[in-house]
Amino acid sequence: MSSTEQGTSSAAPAEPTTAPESAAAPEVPESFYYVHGKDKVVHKVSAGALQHSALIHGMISNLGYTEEQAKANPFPFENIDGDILQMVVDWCNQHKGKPTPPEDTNLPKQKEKLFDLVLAVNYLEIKELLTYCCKQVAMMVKGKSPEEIREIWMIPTDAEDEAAEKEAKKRAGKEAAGETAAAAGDAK
Amino acid sequence: MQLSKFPYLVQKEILDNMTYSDLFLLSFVSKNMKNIIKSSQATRFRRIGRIVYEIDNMDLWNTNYRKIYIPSESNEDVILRCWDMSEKLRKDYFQLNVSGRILDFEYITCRYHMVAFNQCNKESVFESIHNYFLDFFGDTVKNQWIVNNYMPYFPRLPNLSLILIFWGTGNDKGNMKNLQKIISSSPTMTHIKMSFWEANETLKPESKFYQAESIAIQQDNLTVPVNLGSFQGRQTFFRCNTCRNFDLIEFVNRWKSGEAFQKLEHLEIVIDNDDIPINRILDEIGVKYIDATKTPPTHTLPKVYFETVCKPNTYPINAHTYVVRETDNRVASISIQEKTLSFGVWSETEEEFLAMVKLSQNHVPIADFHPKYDQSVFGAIHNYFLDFFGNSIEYIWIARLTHGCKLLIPRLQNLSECVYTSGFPELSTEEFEKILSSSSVFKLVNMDNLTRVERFGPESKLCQVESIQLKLNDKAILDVLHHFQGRQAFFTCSSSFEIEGWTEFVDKWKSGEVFQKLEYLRVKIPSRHEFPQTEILNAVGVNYIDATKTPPTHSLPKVHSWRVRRRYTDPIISHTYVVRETDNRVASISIQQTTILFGVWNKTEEEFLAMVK
Repeated sequence: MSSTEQGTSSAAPAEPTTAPESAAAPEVPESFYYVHGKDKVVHKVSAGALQHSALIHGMISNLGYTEEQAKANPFPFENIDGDILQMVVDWCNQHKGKPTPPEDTNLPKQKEKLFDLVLAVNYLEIKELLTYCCKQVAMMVKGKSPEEIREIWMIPTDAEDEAAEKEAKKRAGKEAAGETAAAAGDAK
Repeated sequence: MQLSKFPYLVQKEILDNMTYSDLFLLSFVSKNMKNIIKSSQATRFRRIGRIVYEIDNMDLWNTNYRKIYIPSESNEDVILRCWDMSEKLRKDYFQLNVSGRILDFEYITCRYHMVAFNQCNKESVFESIHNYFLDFFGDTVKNQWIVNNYMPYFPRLPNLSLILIFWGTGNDKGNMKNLQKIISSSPTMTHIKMSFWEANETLKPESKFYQAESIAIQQDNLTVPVNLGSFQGRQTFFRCNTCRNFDLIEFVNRWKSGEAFQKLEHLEIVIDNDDIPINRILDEIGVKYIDATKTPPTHTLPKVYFETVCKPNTYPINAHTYVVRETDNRVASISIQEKTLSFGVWSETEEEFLAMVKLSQNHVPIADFHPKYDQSVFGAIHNYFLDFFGNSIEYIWIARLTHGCKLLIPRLQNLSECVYTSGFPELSTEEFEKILSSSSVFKLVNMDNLTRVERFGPESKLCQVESIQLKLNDKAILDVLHHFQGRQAFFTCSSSFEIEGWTEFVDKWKSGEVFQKLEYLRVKIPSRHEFPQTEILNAVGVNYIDATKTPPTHSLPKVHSWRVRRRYTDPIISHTYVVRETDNRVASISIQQTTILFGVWNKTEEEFLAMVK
């Protein structure tokens, strides 16, 4: 076998160029849906753009809303800040119908915004955008010392972890004791 | 930003995107963090074959500078560098407790963290690092320490295997003494790579050298300074200028008798001198033959040691000839091809081995003839076929390059000529032009040994070839691309590929000035590079098909394929395309990390879009 052929797809070859010629399908008008975040600002987004979000795509795939119904029932995402939802909507619109590039350089540079974006994207299940965001988060600590990493990612020290664990145990103990007392009261 | 507030899967995704070097430093932030890394990255860490401690810079042989890295077939992932520089520490250095020892670290300009230490503390420094790695990456990972004749130091640590790289030349006794000293003062080596020319003394049979698990030797012959006959390990690779057939025969006979080489799994001997007909030994070693109509099993196994960017397994032996060991009836496949003898020992007995032999699907008659009559023999066969099968089918002659760039191509009518080489030494421009001149115009040229060929002019015969499958450097690819008049081109680029060259090609195609016959183009670059997908698509001004729709699949029969299963070009299912101005024909463009595919349709844009579903 030729070495210059190595690495080609091992899938069975597809049929040659003479693909069946069919009449062009009639254009189906694109459907739109509406979403809003914590700030209640409603965004109109096409079904094509929303395909990036597995969560929303799953929600709308069986709805069969008319334009009016969709407008009257925007999807509420109360756990997402308005500006973050705007970023997500912009990204989905920008990458609608396009192959996603290997990297995205337009993500927020500020730590807190990126953090909120990661949570939102994870919730909305937008896989490609989550990957870009996680890459960017990982890059934040490139070449940093452990103390600098701790500061950037706010990682507790061993002593803080131990104190938190003790506290959690204490709390769990108290709750258990409370439950036992309540159960004893009920029995009486 | 509080990392712990992210769900576990998000934390894992972030850690998945970090290099080993960054994960190593992150593990010092807290015990909790270290545990999260170890649990979330367990699968990734299990895939690490080995960690190598190598001298960092070959210009600094007299130092203890080390880089510690994880090697792979494509690159090396450096975890840490260790330099003897404790007195020159920068102000921003920091200290870490590595397995109970406080070590100084600083960030150096070449993107890595460095452990700085005093020469006198090196033993304990490396011990701490080694112990930390055993805990962090797991004790299933092999740890290999490379020593050489200039820096033979190694720390004495459990689970650390030694690799020796030794360069020697001339009959200077100092070299030999140095080699013997290193060998005798070290534990048994896992692997020894050595080149030693013009030596006049042979290592004694009792030397620990011969106990190494694996050796890769380049020397003048098979006995000086390393004697193949004394080897007791598992894998051996020799490259010699010359050899005596007697040595090869003796090797096989001693293996067959069970007197020596009991642990041997794989042997490979390359003799560079063309005048040594090593294939003559077959008659003298009493080989057994597997029927030519049957398919023998393939012998290959993981190498004890392989360098970064090298194949991790031994070269597959697929031979119809084998020998049997008298003492335990074990089989060794033996293959002699041109200058290489390969010997692969099976753990199967002859009976078990023969049970693995498969019946070939095709039984074919064999024509025997003397080489001096080849032109007339092939002429007669070809004429018979023309009469028997008719002249409406295509007859293809595949010429394989042999030593001295010779090609056998009979001058016959109605015969398309193809040339093919693989695994052959790199050719110069002159040698390649000589090959091209041996045919009026080749139908196909498939060669992977042209990275030394620098440029092609518009008059090169290569540009008229119907289909080319070549491994070239980027400049040579651009030259061919500019003047190509054929139908199909498959390039493997030996370096990165400038996007300007690509956009220039697409612009020319779009203008309709050239490449009228082009049907398919593929450019692959090495995996360490990546095509900037968005940049290229923007630069060539592609049209997009809506992502919600399914584009048609472009694939067509190759001009010639070496494999039945790969008769068609790789399918292109792409949402991006360009249109030729002169006839409105479409070409689909697909760009994935290391591959660009360009497939021309015989459809106008309108017809093409009608096929979109």
